[in-house]
Amino acid sequence: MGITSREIVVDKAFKFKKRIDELRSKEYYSDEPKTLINLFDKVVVKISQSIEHIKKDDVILIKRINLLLSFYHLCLDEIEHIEANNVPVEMLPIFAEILKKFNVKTTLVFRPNPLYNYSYYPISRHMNEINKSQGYPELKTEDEIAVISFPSSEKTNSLMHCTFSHEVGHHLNEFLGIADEIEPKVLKLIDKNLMKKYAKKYLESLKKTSARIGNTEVTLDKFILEEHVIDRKTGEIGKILRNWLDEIISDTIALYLFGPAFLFSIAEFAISRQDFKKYTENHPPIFIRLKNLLNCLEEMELAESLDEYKHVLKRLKVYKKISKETFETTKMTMSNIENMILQRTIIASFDPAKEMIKKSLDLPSKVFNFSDVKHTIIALRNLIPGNEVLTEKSTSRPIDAISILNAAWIVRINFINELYSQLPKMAKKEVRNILNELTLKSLDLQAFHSKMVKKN
Amino acid sequence: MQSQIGEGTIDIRLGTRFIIFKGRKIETLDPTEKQTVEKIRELQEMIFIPYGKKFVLHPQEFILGGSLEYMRFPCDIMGYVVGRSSWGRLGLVIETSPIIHPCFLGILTFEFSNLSTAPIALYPGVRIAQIALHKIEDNTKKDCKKILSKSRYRLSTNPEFSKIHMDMDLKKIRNFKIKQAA
Repeated sequence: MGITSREIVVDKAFKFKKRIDELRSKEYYSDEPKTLINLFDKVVVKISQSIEHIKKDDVILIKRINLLLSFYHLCLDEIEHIEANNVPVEMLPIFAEILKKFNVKTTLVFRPNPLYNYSYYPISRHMNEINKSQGYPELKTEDEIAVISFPSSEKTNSLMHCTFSHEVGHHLNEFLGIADEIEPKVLKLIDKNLMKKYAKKYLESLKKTSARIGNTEVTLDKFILEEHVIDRKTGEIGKILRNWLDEIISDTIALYLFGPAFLFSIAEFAISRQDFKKYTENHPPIFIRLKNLLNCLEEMELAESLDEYKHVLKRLKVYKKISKETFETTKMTMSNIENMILQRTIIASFDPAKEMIKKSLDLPSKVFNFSDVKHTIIALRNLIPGNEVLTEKSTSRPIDAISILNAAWIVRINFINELYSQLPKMAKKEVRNILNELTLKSLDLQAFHSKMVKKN
Repeated sequence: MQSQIGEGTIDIRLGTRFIIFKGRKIETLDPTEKQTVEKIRELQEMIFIPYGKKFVLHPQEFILGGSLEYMRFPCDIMGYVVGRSSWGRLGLVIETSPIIHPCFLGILTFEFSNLSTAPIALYPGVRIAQIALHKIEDNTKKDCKKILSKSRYRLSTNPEFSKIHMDMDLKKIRNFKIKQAA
């Protein structure tokens, strides 16, 4: 006699419990990953209890539990490799501090991603949705937990990890409902004339194909009204615009929180992919993202602080050049018209998005301050961590972590040759890695110093 | 920092990373063997202990740790790392290779042994060792760039694994062994 589907589900729950036990034996960077493991444990205990009461022939319930357990096994995959050794631990307190600043009680769990990508996954929210849809609303958790992933190959790349701020921006955007609030306004910005042109082109394309009805050959455009084409396309474009809006908002939040360091990190990450016009339904092209970030940066009036770093300014000029790319062409093909609608609408959304972000985050009081950056720059140029400023009373105070990251980027762009020349027998890639490690060390010392100051 | 400066020494604090020993498969660690680097990595593992948490060093256990402080020595100063007597009295031995050369740049790697009969808790951030600084009376100006390029353990921000395989004399002994075997 074979194994029953009920027994398969029982086994799946048993294996889940075993995986949880294995995960408990690992060394984590803090208590956060354990919070998630405990949450999974709690859920699976409840599921296991309900399995005991299932009748063998209750196929629907067995299927539901099977699906739930498959989902939770996938969740465990999310946190399979989050031990301290695989994660840039020195970077993490920065994000906990940011959430605290905005009274967001979410636990962030960082995980290395085998894919070369940064991403944000609101895991507890997803858990609640699945539990509810599968008939287990009582498994709802009040804990808010999100997983942020980074390319595993970039573990020690502290400079590139400024991109984390974009992922945290996603969380703040969701938590504060920024995109939800401005989405209707943005949809109203869609150019109706362009939409009409699109519909006409679409109907023209349908004229090329016909269908036989009785004895007559009828072209397909006769089956659909222009208004229907416009409605359907507006819906499709609206979905893309919403995703792009989320990205633009997260970028803007990240820039306000992290200053130019975020711009440099996201640009380096995105530009390495070369194609500035490439986009997906989820992400706008890099030229549009840069356009928004450069506009915001200009408004933040940081130019004066950056004036003395000529290579930084040169790089900003390169970004500006990229940001001038456009989808606008004289060719009025359907795909071009669609791109033009997307481009014009998302660009028109920059200002309303910015205003809403400022209001929601209570800016400008939290806007990035550049005053301590120079102290870290001097230290890093001398190959030592730059984590504190000597005060007039011959004591010292810690420099904030975000200033450290900005300083590290300025050193990377403006003074990297100076570092190479101090370490002549070292390969340039090694020197760049040393800058990353010195930045992590600066953050580590900064965190310790801040803790000691608070305690005293 | 002011509270770390004593009469003749400066106190140094403990960092967050440790290198522990885990090798159970290695028969001998023979530094003349070609696979020494791989064996060392099989034998040792770096771990992280956050501030506020402890590492418990058991009796007879040996581990490596790092200083929280990152140092840059000028060309005319050298230093000695020594344990603090308060820890020594508990059975904690802190350093076996105490010299810090002029122009040194990086964190210090400590070698810890617990010679007592009771486990000792080590917390990142505690004052664990001390350094005594000495001025070098030498008229010739040393080239730190040159010294640094020769240094084996330079610019490290975490405790470093042994690089004994880089010893030239060990290479000679290895070649001698090969010739003998042939």
